[in-house]
Amino acid sequence: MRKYVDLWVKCENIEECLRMIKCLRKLGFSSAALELQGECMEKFDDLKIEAEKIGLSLYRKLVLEPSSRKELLKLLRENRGRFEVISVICRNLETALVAARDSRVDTMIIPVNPRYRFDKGVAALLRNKVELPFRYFLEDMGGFLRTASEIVSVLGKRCGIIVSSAGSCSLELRNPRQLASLLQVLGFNEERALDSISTEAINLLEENLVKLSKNYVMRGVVRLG
Amino acid sequence: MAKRLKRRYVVIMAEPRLSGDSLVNAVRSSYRELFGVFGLAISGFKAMKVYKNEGVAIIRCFLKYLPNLLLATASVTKLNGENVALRTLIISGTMKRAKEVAETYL
Repeated sequence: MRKYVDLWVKCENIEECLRMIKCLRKLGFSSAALELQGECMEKFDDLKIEAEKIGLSLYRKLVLEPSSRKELLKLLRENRGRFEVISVICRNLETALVAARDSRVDTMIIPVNPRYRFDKGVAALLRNKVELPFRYFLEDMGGFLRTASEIVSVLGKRCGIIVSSAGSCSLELRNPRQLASLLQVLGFNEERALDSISTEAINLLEENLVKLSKNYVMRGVVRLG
Repeated sequence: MAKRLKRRYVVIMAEPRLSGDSLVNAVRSSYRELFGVFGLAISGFKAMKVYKNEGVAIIRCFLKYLPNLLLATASVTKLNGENVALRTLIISGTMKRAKEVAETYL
């Protein structure tokens, strides 16, 4: 049976966060990556324990929105060891090119109607996954579908695409089938669309958990025993 | 020989609970907005059963257009001026099973 992951859930206060955790479980997710803000930052361990009681694994996520290459590199240097997932919202081509090839970035998020073209040049550099937040779709359907269809046609064959809800309250969360339907409408088959919220995301989390473990030395080297 | 079109029955529920009729209308207009009048016409969209006061409805469509229907349900965010989320409870191949599931949520 498939396990589903919501790779971006925004948590601003504890009560809403607990409601969202219950909602995520009810919708059929088995893991979620939380972008923590305010008081939730300090209470992540409590949230994690609460979530584990109902069978949901939680991970920390950081979403960066740098304005330049230099800023992005600085933020990555400071934060990589503290979060399981790091995503970068690419507001300009300069940051998109760095985010596409830096191994410390897990997913890159291309905003709706970006003011740059992502073409074969970006696709050739791309090593990371591209994330499509469902909330962007709810905010601007036309613009999002235009950008997403471009992403799928240019980058879809070269890299993994992950769909996340990016919701900040339980009413903004959607079930895995609804999230996958977005990619199905854009031309993916059912299996690949479902992979985008299960296999792709799970692999990414597992890789990062290995990297964050004490036994990890460097790429390809793990201390045994 | 012409291939028989397969159908799927989707049970949807509004959260928080609102009237079933407005729920179906919201999904229909969302579908129309996303895929156009032609898209709606060829999808086999039909409200099979509406539980008026419980905010639950069973909608039928052709299997080929199931992702479109799911996306249309997911894109509904407001109903009668209230913030809502539409949850799909089950996707079934028979009306009998869809009804059984819908009735457990009443």
